[in-house]
Amino acid sequence: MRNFWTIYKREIKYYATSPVAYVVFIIYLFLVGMIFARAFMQFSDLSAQIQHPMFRQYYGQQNLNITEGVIQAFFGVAGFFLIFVLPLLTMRLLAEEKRMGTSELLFSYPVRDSQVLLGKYFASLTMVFILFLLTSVCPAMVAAWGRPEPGVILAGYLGLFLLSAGFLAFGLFVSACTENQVIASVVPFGVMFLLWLLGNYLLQDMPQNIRMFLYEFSATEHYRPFVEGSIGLKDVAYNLMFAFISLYLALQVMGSRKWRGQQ
Amino acid sequence: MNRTLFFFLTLFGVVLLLVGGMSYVVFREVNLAIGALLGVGAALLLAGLFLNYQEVSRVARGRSAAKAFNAMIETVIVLAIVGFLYAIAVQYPNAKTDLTKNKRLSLAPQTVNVLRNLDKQDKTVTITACITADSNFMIPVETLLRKYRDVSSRLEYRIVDFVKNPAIRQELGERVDLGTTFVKCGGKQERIEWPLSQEKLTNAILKVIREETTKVYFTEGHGELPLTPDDPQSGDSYAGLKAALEDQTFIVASLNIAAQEHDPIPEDCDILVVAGPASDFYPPEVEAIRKYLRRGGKALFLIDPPLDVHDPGAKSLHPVFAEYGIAVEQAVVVEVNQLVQMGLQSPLQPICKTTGDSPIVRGLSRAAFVLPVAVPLNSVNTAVYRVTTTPLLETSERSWGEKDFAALSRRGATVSRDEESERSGPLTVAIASEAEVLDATDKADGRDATRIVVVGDSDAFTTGSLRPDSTRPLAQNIFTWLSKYDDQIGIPPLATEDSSLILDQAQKAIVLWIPTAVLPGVVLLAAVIVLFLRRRYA
Repeated sequence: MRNFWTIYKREIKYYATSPVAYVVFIIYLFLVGMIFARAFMQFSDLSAQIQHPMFRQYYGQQNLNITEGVIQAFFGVAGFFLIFVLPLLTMRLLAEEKRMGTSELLFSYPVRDSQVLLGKYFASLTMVFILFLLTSVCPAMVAAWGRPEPGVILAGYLGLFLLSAGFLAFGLFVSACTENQVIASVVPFGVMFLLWLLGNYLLQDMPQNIRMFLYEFSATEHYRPFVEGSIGLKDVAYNLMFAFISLYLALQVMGSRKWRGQQ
Repeated sequence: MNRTLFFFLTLFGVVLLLVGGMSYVVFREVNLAIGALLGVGAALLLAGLFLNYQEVSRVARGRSAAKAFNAMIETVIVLAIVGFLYAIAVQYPNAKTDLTKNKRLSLAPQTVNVLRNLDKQDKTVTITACITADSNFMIPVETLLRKYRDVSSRLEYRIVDFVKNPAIRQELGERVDLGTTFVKCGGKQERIEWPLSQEKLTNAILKVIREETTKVYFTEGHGELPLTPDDPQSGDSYAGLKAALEDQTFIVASLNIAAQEHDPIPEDCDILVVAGPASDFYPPEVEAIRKYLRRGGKALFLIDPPLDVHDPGAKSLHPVFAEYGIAVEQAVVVEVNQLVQMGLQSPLQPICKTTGDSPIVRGLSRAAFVLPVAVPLNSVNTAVYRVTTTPLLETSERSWGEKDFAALSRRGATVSRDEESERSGPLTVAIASEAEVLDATDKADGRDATRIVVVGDSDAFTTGSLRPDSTRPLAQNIFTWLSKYDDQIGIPPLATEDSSLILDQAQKAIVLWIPTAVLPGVVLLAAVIVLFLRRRYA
């Protein structure tokens, strides 16, 4: 456990003193904040318009709900932009150790591969948690003036965290496979993007039974219920198992250095 | 050359085997294409291994090969276990918690009942949604249809791009527009126009699976409010209720009992509605209603209190109610709540809530019902039939049954409760009663029970009073309970709450600048400080 904490603190310290984490945070907060502000102001304008009898006639008995109009838009983009920033947090975790040769030094210490892996993984997860804490200003602003549904906000953050848990683990796995940081960031980005598109656009032209089968692999399909305010066993299981498999494969790759090349 | 060939042949073979295996999982059959994929994949894999036998043998004899093999086996086992666990989780698509305020993501109990009954009724429903693949309709439509399919395997759906498949128009035999959905069961087909909603879809399923329709007669000739108003904008009619009932496959018609030549109440009358009569029924009409009920009839009575001290109102049916265990009090409900104190509401408009465990009020426990001018009702013993009465709606504890009608009619008069003669709340204002049919012939005809519902306010279900989250589902539940399909009761309010919000200019500025500038700015400032300190103390 002590080894785990040593590695965890080392990584957190690295994140705190590295410009990469700050750049990632700033870009993510700006993009998510911009779309949130746009959605919130559009909702406000629509609320004003709907007071007019002419618009009321157009919208009929349909109610304007701030949770659906603003909170769900916020979690939708917050999940999407993770695809772009998470690979930047994981790309160097193991790849850089290999490139710099410090991995040999690290593994010469009495420390298990799993401790190294989990220390780095939970450090990256902590950074994402801090990032989500910063984004919570957005739903807090909605709560200050409106009546959002707390359950949907809770489900949305759980979904974001589980999505990050899976994506970070996959990024760590790719980082364990290569010493090239560009590959360690581009490959997870490509795979995450593909998993995201599976639920939205790629499958719409496919026959229904293939679409139903591939939906089970889609990140969007397992993230959307959280955004809408539902926590399902299947969706939690998908994200946890994606994280588990990625971490397990990363551990196998790390362990393979002991026997690779032996005759 | 050999090593490269070995690698690519083996890799390509493995890929073909995987694609073939996945295709088999999807299509559940080995057709020519899948067979070819599996066969060619296996052949390439074997060819790769055979052509590079020496290389394979050399590698396999090394220590690293043995360890790699062990690691591979271990990985396959772990992946299989994880895959198995996920497959179990996939088998439970309904294991989820809906955290929205009004549970709008979940299917209504009525929908679930309808879908679960498909198996009992041995019916298969096919839903065809006509959209284009690139439209925004795809995700909401498929999300809703998947929820239905997850409840019942007797429901099949398909989403058809009607532009790419023009033959669908011939197959459906109807005009097809973007977003149109068709529900089919046996020879019956229902069409639903966009936007698709749970209510529309469930009602369409009910229409295609129900073999018989329910005929509802509204009496007329005693000053009842009309079914179709002269002025369409008027809220003082039952036009809204009629439309809601017709949505649920009921056939609604008017009936003047006194004007009937043969049967005062026709044989095809499934539910009789007496809605707010202003004058008494003639004795032969009362006798006809009594006879209809005795033979297992179903009826809804919407009655009013006598507000005019000189006019006792329509009381001719009160003895009939008493036979079924329901007494009408000679009083009117008065309630002094906060809205009344603020001058926003009349004290004659009590706010009621559901009570009792009748299926009629299932899913409506959080709804509020405003009944303008209501009469209190009581459950009483009756020696005529074996009855079971269940209260449906009750007023608050702040209400009472006012009997001083003269005071109520005086302009500006204040009323207060006379503790000796006036009952305090909660007062029942709607009661359901079920009585066993005594006649053996009627029983043999399948008329096993008489069911009546008395609501102490005829305005409760007028078009102006129908609310999507309270009175409308209550009315639909009452009619469903009175009909043959009482196992399909329980529509909860699914409309989203109105939480519109208008921001002022200052709030808009905060919404714009805090997330886009202040928050990233704070992180930037932290970065500058940390990097400066790091450089200084490094």
